[in-house]
Amino acid sequence: MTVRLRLATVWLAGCSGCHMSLLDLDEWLFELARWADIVYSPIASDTKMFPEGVDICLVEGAVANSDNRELALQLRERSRLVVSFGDCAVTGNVPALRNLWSCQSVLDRGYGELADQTPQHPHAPGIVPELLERVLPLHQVIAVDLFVPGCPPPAPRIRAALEPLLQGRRPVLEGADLLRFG
Amino acid sequence: MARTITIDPVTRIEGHAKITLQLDDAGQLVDARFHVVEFRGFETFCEGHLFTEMGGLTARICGICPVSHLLAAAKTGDKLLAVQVPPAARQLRRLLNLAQICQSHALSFFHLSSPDFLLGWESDVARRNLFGLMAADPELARAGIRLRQFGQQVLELLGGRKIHAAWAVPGGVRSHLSVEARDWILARLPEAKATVAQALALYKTLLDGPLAREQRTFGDFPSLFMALIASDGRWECIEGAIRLVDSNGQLVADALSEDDYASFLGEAVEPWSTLKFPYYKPWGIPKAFIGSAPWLDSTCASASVPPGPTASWPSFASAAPRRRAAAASSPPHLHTTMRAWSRSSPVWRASSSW
Repeated sequence: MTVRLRLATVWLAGCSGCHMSLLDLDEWLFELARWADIVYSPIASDTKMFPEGVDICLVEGAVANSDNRELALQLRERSRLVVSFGDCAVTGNVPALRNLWSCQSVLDRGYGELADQTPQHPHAPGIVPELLERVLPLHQVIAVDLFVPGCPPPAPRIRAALEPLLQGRRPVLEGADLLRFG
Repeated sequence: MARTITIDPVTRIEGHAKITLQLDDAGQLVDARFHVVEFRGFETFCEGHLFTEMGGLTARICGICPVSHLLAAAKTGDKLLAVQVPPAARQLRRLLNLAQICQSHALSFFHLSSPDFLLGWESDVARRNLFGLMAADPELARAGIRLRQFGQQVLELLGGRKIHAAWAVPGGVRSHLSVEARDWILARLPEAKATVAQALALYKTLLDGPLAREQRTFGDFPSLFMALIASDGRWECIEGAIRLVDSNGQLVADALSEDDYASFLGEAVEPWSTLKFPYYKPWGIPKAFIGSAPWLDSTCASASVPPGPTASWPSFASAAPRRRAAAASSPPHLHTTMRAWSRSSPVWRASSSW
């Protein structure tokens, strides 16, 4: 029996779609469970602190606020291999559309002009994270070892990336089926 | 000494959230808050795009319920173009939404919530999750995984992909349902129905036993509930009129039109959450979270059980008296521990509607 890998998954600013696509591995998840323990994940773990000694960390979503940045830095420090998982992590994608405006103006629109009552920006230090002025793709915040594009990456593409990683090999993602955005 | 307990992140939910509990000097709970902590700015960056792009863009609000946002965008496009959607396309949109309900509720029940019910609230934190369930009861976990897969596969058969297919468009849908796809659905449907029946029976057993205590106390707070109702009073998931009921199941408003939403739905802002707080405008903003006019808390899960006097739900009604015994004042489907049940029931309805 080989040593079991410690797998983590994280969602930053995104829609959870990449994690849903991970669940679209369906019964192959039983195969995944033969190779790895899920030690941290919003959908498959109740662990609150990102653990030490993670082998592979899949990161969905862009870096859009102070919590995202803090978790990104922490997971990089504690993970051997970081995967930029899906278009929001890879390019910024939909969350980065707000980069055409200032933080102030997107907050004014959402919580000022479009609130019927009590217009105010959410502000609760330590609880509600502060928005970063610009939404960033993951690799502009931390070093990334592998990019898996797609909005979301379809399950077969995720498997093509994960299967070699679980067996200690570097995946080769080539061709339109494995590299397409969107 | 007064202190705050923070649960961060809240896990096995569909989104980004924290919970804080404020304790006083004596260690007694004085307040509890659920904080949503995600903001992307759709309100701003959707503006200026072509309305035909709204489906593809707004679906990205959520990768779990993209179909809901897609259909809202398509319906709005229908109205902007002032077109009638052809009957076949109306049915295909309905099929799309039923598949969405099936996969999303299978996710909520099996993948996310059931480890609490089946492994126990107090069980080992490292195992209290989908993978723990797969180890403890592989056949049940497999059935749940395949139920979600069924819904996702129907979405792909219709729209060409499982997540974020921009297949419903202003005026209708992009393509027809192939004979092969229809036959696949028909062949797989009995298994899906059997799994839902199994889940309902299992949950009923849990309510009678391990969850009896939780039923009386867990998440017991007043809320308004909103649902769509067909013109003949039956369950509806896309068209129909809007109905609101209160926590006691009493009718608050009926036959409201989505076109007039701004006249009866308002959104307030609290500084401690990025989620806005929807409320029923004629009643105004609640003065407090408990013990006053309630917020409109639930719009899709519990309220999707048809409220009011026309409710008819044989499989649901069979468990209802048990919940009534626990708290006679509130109808069962409006109570938190019953939400897992009421999430399963629409899947039953969805799987029976094909």
